[in-house]
Amino acid sequence: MRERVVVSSGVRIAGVVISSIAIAIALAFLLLPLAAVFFAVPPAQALRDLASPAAATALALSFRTSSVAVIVTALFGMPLAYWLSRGRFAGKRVLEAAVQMPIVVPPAVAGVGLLLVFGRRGMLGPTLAALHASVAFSTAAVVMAQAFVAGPFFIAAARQAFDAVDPDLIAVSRTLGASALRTFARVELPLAAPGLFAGAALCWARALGEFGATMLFAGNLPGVTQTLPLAIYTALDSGLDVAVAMSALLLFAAFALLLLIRLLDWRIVAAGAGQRLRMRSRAGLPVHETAA
Amino acid sequence: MLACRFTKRLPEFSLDVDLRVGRETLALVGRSGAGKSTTLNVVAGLVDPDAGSVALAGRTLTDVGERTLVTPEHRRIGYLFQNYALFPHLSVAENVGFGLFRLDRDSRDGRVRDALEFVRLTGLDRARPSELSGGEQQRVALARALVTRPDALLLDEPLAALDAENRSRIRLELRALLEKLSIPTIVVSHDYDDARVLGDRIAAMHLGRVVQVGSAADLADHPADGFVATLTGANLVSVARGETIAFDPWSARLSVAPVDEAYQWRGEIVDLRPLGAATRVTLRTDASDIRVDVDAGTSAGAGYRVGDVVIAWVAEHAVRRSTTPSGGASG
Repeated sequence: MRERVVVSSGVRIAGVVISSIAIAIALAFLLLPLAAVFFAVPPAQALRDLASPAAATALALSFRTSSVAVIVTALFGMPLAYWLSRGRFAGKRVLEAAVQMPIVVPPAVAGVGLLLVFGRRGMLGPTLAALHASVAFSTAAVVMAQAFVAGPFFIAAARQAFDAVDPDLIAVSRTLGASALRTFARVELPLAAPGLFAGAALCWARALGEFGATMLFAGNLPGVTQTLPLAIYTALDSGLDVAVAMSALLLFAAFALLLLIRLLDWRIVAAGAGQRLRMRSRAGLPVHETAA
Repeated sequence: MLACRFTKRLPEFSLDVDLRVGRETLALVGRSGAGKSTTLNVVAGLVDPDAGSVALAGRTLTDVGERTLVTPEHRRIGYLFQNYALFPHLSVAENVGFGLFRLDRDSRDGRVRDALEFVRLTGLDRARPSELSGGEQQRVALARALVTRPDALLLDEPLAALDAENRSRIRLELRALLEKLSIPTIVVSHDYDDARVLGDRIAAMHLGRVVQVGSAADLADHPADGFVATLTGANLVSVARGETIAFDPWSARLSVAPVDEAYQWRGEIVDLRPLGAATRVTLRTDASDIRVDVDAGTSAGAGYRVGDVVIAWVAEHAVRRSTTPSGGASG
């Protein structure tokens, strides 16, 4: 017989109380500031504030730029993610780490970097000037700042989604007469789709909230580069109410996107796990893995 | 005729294969990691060999010297994967029809229906693979591999993912199906019993080499080496002057005292395994490990313990002399 470890009820109650307090403090700290934004201004007034020209312009610009940033990221990021998933080459780990850098780099540093390359006096400045395509302090710069900062979120998610596709499915598709391209379109893409969408949603949420890099690289010009986060910052000077209303809107959009990601995540997990569980239960035994 | 002859360097050893398969089923049997699956992958064009060639029905598919390498999708070789590799996002009918994208809808539907009928899965065409039992999944995968009318068929451990209860039944069904097909077929298995049932001929593979090809009886009666002997369950012991004998565990006997027989070995019991009505005793002797089946009902059978030192012997008439000289040690 194994000896039971006896814990006195007093100690156990103390443990429960202490951990409950810790959890309550953590939740309050994380959620209270967000909730405060929602409850600071009455909804009717918040809607009026959002209808103000400055807020409406910023909202439209934010929506436009972040949408374009997500599409551009998906177009260029998907081939990169696929290559990182399937490719085998020297220095792959280093490249992977480098691609993830924008996630941890302070947005201000990202802004400085973008200026050094695309700015008027940057590396590509003269070239762009010769093409009459000055980027800095334009709407295009906003999209670039957003894509730079948010892109890695999509690339990481897409890479994971491609990693998760069973190589046997790709092989069997080829033996059934499908070319590599057809296999990608009919097998890899559909199976990776939920992960790709989750990555795009995450990327969008991050692009929507982009502030630092945009401020440095694109500036704060109403109607041209002033996105919602920048408008919030500007509105703080004149009064809190409009800033709060815009903050609430951003929070709402971000939360909706996060919820969407959770939903997609759950679908991915459910699809994979459900299949394995059913197979096991039908077989009546754990499916054994025999490598030949 | 499927003919392949190639070498391929693997991390642990070098794969060196030379096989010819007519309108028959060749069972490639060996332990995990012997190179069996890699052999199938080379034939299917999923893995490139370092040297050698693969040809099917007179058409060269791989020839490293000639720099010929037909892509997998142009080989016309059906491949059944160990876990069946059914597309989880497609229905049964869509899985089976996956390779028929060049046909118009009507003829595709017809072929899918015929294929599902062939594997007796009519009525399940709308089901998802996740809703099927292991045996049904296997049949869907088989229908999918056959519906394109391949010139050859490769099956990688077709029975490994099935539970013991259904395994022997499905094994016989698969055997009947393969006989009906009559195209060059290679079945890979780690289980000698599966290989024996499914294969017209058996190729025993060990560490990347085919050590023996022949009928089940050939392999059992004249095992080329200790590995084949272990595979078929026979004992292979080298006796004096490089002579090697083979005998079955059920022909051998145990005794506590020396007996008046030509073939006897003293050794320590290292394992006792219940085997139906008998107990299989493994004896570690100077020559090699010898397996002896002892009737579990007798007092003698019940009495042996691991660690006992006893004598194993076999009567002269129960011994087969191996024609091929070999190292002899089995393990």
